[in-house]
Amino acid sequence: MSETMTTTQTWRPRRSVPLAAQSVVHATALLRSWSRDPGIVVQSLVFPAFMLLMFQLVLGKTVTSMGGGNSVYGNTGLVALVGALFGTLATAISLIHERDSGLLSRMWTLPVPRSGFIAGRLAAEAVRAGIATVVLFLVAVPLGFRFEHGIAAGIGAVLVPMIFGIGIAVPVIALATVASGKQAVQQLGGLFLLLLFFNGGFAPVSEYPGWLQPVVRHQPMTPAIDAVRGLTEGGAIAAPLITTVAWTVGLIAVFGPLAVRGYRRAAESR
Amino acid sequence: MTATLAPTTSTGSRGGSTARTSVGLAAATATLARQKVLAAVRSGDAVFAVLGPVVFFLCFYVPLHGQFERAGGEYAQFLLPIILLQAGIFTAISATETAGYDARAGVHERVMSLPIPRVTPFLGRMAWVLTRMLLTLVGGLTIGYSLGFRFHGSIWHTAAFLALVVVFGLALSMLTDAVGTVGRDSVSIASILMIPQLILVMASTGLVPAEGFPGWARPFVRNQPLSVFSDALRGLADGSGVDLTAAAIWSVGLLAAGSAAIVAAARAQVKR
Repeated sequence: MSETMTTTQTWRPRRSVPLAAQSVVHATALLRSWSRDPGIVVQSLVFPAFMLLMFQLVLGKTVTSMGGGNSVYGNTGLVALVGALFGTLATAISLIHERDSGLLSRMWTLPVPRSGFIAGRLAAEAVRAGIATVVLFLVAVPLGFRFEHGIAAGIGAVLVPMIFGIGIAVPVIALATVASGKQAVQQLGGLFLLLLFFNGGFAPVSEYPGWLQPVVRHQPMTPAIDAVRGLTEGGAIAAPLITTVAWTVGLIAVFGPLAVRGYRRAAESR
Repeated sequence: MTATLAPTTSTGSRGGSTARTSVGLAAATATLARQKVLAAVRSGDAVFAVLGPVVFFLCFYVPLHGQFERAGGEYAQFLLPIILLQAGIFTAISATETAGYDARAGVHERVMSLPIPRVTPFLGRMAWVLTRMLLTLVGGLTIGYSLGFRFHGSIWHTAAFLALVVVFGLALSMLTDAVGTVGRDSVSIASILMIPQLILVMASTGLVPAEGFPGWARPFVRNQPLSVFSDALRGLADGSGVDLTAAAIWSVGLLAAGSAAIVAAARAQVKR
């Protein structure tokens, strides 16, 4: 009798894991698995790099001549955000696979704070957007992209797509976990396509028809692009940065509860 | 005498199934085509086929037409060919996913156990490709016409325009169908194919004239297939003297490459 007691005590007692540690572990695990998924790597790293090269090659001269500064700054900011947007769609598809394969449910049984799953996922999205932005800046430098305000501002410019990426990931998680999810995510791709073309980075806002200009000016990408431009080329920084943060906070406030509910349902469904 | 022949003729009345007879090419293709079209309607791909060119047309037209028209020119007339060709590429990319699904979800094995000609699953998929290209033409021409695109040529020019778009999408889809059939991960292949799509569509004379490109890029931009096709389509829409030799050679070449790829993929699948 006492022997069996001692053998059970050779295991360390089950302990809960602190939130921060759990978030970091979950984030690194996600980043590692994303780095092995060719779909995610292509959509968030390779495709944006080619897109920047093509936008500059084809439209660079035309858009610069429309006024509003050298187009490489607008395009680099724009494409960094596009990488965040479409990369989030790819990771959402992998989230659906994790749900369908039962991985989410298995992790749900671990003695860890469950808020760490969402926190870790958002952290991973931010890091992914940051890495993609650094790669994109390296591609942009030979095209004439310069850090006119120094390296500190340049690092700030990397943070902008990271903040944007967190804001955008919350509604995407909410959508991916409703019903079957895949179709909703694909339809969101159509909306993102519109965001991609109708913003102040693709062409100056004045090129859009008058009735559309308020939408173009205030959609979430335009202020974020302006913030990247301000931190690299020059121009207003504070106002666009505050608007970007406000968009992210707003998206979290509106879609955060839905994302949490959806994630819980996805993890408990099977 | 009659009793020995009876089993083949009267199995039905004896409770067994009727003798297996093979299904003709046309009937089997029609059934599989109908199934592919219905699946695409249900998955929403049919809606994307119509709306895709509309959205892309607006995405390029709205920000860029002002600049183009200040230089003198009708941008809707200029832009529509590349939008339709891009839709053809998207059709081909979705064809690679469909073919990959059929090859890996066991659909192929199950269909191949039926008494139908071996080529019918491929023909069924191509029937959807053809339908998708027609839907794409409906979407693209509707938005193009409402913003100023017009056919100025004869009825033959217009017919050649429509045929060239469909042939382009079909030939490309034969190639990607083969790739999806033998590839291991067709979803990844589809996302990788987006990159050549981007390069070919952007670095062509479809969005801006060749003069808009730096000198070193112009030889490629002028002669790559999408430029060749969009120049030919533009000529056919304008009804002006158009030289279709290059576009015809590319079409024949793509169709030949597509057929060869289909045969090679079918061989690889039989060996499996």
